[in-house]
Amino acid sequence: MRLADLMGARVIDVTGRDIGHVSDVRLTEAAAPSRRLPGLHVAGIVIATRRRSRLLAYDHRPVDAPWPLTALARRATRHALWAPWTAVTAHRRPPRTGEPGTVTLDQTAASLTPLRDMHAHWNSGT
Amino acid sequence: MPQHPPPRPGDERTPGRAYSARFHLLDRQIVTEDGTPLAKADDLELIPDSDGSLVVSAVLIGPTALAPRLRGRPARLLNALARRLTTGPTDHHARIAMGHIIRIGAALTATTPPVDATLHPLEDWIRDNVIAPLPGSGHAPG
Repeated sequence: MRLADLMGARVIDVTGRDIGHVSDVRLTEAAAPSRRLPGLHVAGIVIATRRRSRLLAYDHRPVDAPWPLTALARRATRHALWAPWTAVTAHRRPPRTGEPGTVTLDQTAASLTPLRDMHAHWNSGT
Repeated sequence: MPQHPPPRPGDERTPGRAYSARFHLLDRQIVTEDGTPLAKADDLELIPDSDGSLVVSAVLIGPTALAPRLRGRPARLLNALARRLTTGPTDHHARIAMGHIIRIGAALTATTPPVDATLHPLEDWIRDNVIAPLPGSGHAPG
């Protein structure tokens, strides 16, 4: 499997509703004893709920300053959602090159954490 | 011949660090430890772990790796063109194992030696079979 199969994939929630697309994939470095394989593990996906949204890389961490960028970042991420990889029940590759794949979740969109709520947690750790 | 800013101390891969695939990895320049450009990260290869998670096993390089990241007809066009021009197996992607990536910063630093025949097979074939026979090509700079 390749990252390109996930990036841009349509995200389907547990009710079968298309809630957006995968805008980014967050990777965390795991130590050897904690996992079978050491290295970069997929921690979860950032879901952009707007059709054309790419979040301008503000999905990685919050922008604290200057204030115009802070305002822009908040506006860009206000509809974005975070889904941990444990919430992903299935992922299908694109049917043909250039078309999006599909990621299925075990939750509804309403039960997912807004991306802005994850920012403080991430920023303290990275 | 260092051609890239030196890595910062915090760029080493350490447990607990987190990365945005799109921001920190994709399209980043890959350099050797002495700063020589090696390739560009076009995609990542993922393999399943026993607990159901996915692990990045390699950085994929080249137009056949880049094509699926594009959308629609440009993706299919690039994919078809890259496969037509490829000199090896069509389903083979040039790759650098993730274990060879030792730093993730402004660039990805790899321990792979700069002269690796598997990274740029098309470039190597064109250099040997098209450029080299041209009169005067032996005097070209660089």
